[in-house]
Amino acid sequence: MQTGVQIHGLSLRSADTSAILDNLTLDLPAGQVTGVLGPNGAGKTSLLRAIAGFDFAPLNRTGEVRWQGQSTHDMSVQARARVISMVSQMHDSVFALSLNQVVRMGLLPHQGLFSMPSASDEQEVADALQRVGLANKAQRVFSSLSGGEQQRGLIARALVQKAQLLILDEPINHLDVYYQHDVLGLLRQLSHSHGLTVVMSLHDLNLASFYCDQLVLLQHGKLQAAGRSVDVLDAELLERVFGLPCVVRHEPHGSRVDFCPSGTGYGLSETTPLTTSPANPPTSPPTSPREGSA
Amino acid sequence: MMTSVQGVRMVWPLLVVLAIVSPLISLWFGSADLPDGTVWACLTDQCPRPVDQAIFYDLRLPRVLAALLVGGGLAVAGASLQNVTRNGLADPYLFGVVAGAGLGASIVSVLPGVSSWVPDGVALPMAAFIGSSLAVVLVQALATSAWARTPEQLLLAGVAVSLMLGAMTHFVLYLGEPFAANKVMFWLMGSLSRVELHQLAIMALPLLVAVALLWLLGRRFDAMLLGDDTARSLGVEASTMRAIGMVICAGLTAVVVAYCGGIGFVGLMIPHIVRRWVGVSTRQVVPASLLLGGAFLVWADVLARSASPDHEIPIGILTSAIGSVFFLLMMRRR
Repeated sequence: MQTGVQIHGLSLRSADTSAILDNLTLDLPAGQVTGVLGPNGAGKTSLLRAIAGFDFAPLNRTGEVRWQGQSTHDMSVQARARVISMVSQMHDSVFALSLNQVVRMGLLPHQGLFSMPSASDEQEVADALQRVGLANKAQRVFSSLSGGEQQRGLIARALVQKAQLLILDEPINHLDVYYQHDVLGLLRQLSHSHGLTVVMSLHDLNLASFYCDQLVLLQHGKLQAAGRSVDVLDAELLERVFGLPCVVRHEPHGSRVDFCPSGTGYGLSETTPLTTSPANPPTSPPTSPREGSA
Repeated sequence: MMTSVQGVRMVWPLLVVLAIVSPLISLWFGSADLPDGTVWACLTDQCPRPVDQAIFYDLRLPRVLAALLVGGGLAVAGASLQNVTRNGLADPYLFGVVAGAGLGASIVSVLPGVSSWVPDGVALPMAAFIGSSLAVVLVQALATSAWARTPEQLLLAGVAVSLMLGAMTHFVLYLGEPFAANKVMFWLMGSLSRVELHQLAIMALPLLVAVALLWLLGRRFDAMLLGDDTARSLGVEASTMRAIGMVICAGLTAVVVAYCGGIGFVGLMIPHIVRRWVGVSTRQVVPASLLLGGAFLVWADVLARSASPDHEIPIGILTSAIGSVFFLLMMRRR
C-alpha cells in the first residue's frame, strides 16, 4: 500500500490549552477514499485543515502531517496547491462567477503572473467538466447550480488543479439522496481509476462505510478508531461516541448502522415502532458525550 | 436571478469610444464662453486669442483630464476593495480615507503657522494626503492584526477608523475659526476646478501602477471571491492579497482626495455596473471600471459646472446624490 498522508503526534490547542486535536497519529493510504467521522466538535474540520497545511494561528499546533514524505506545513502555499486541493464547506460568492471560471481557477497554482490563457488550458477545463458531467453548464452562474452540481464543479476544479490529494469538508451536506450517492460515487470512481487520494469528513455513517475504503473516528479531538468499516463501526464504540444506542450489520459492500433512540427522553412514544433491537438498550437517554467537547 | 454569464462583446468598443468621446465633447462645456470654433482651433493648437488659450489650456483641459483620471481612479479603487472584501457594497470612503484627508486639511487650515511652512496651494493637498495615509496605516494595522481577519471585520474596522477620524475633524473645526472651517468644508465637498496641468502626471502615475498590478494579480484576486480557504487551496495567500488590494485602493483614493477633495460613491457604483456587462473577472472589471469611471465623472463634472448659470455645484454633492439613489436601487434589487 503506497504511503499517502502520515500524521504523527498532531495536536492543536487553544490559548487556554484545551485540545481541539489531541496527539493524533495515523496513516491514510494513497489512492484510497478515507472518511473522517465523529460528532459535531470532534475535530473533523480541524484535522482536514491540518492535513491541507492551513495555518491555525493563534492556535498552538504541534506534531507533523506529511504527504508522501513531505511536511504539508513546510511546503510553500503555491507548491502545496499543486498537490493538495481542499474543498471547504462555504463556497458561495456574492459575485456571479460562472462554473467555467470556478473550474478554471484550478489552473492558478500552475500559472505565473504573466501567463496568458491558452487553448490547452481551455481544453483541460472542458475535459474536467466533461468528466464530472457538467460540460453543458459551463456558462451557468455557479451559485445558481444545485448543491450536487456545485460539488461536482469543485471536484472538476480539483482535477484541473492536478491535485493528488483531495480533501473535502462534508461534501454531501445539504444534498438530497440522489446527489449524495452521485458525488460520493464520483469521488470513489476518481480515486480508484485515477489514483486520487480522497479524505473527507462525513456525518452519514452508512454512506461512509459504502463509499470509503478507510474510516477514521474522532471524539473530542482524540482518535477512537481507524481502519476498515468492520473495524471502526462497532456498536459499543459508536454508542460511546455518539451517545445513542445502535445496531450494526456488516454487509459485503459496507456496514449498516441503525441508531435506535428509545425511551421517553427522546420525545418518542413508547409505541414508536423500532424494528431493530439496540445492542444495549438504555432505560434513559445517556449523557451526551458532546458535552465539554472542544 | 442571473443564471448564466455571457460576455457582451460590444461592450469593450463602446467603453473605449465613451472614454475618448466624452472628454472631447465636454471641452465645449464650461462657465466661460468660448466663441464658436475656438475649442476646435485650440485642440489643433491654433487658439485665436491668448485669453482663449488660457481658458482652454489652464482651466478646461486640465479639468476634463482630471475628471477622466479621478473617475477612473476611484472606480478602480472601488473594484479592488470590493474584490478583496468580497463585498459589493464596499467603497473606498468606508475605509476612512476621506475622513483622514479631512482631518489633515482641518488641522492645516485652523493652525495658520503650519501652512506658512510650505508654498501656497500645497499645504492643503499635502495635509490631506498625510491624513489619508494615516487612515490607510490605521486600517492596514487593523487588517493585519487578529482583530480584523475576515472581510466583514475589515469593513467594520474601516467604518470605525472613518468615524473616529471624522469625530476628530469635527472637533478641530469646532475649535478653529469659522472662516477656516468653511474653507475646509467646501474643499471636502469635492471639486475638479483646482487641478492644474502639471498635477495630472502625479495623479496618472499611481493609477497606471495600480491598474498594471491589478491586471497582473487579477487571477489571484479572482480566487479570493470564493473565500479565503479556497484561495489558500489554490496557492493564494489571502491576507497578503487583501493587504495589496487595500493599499491600492487607499493609495488611489488618497491621491484623488488630496487634489480634488471628497468625491463619493464612484467607487461603489461603477464596478457594480461593469460587472453586469463584462463579468466578474478582475482582468475585465478593472479596465472596464477605469474607462466607465472616467467617462462618468467627465459628465458629472459637465453637469456640475453647467447646471447653474451663476455658480458651479461641488461635484462631490452631485456624485453623492446620484450614488445614494443608486444605493437604494441596489437595495431594492436585493
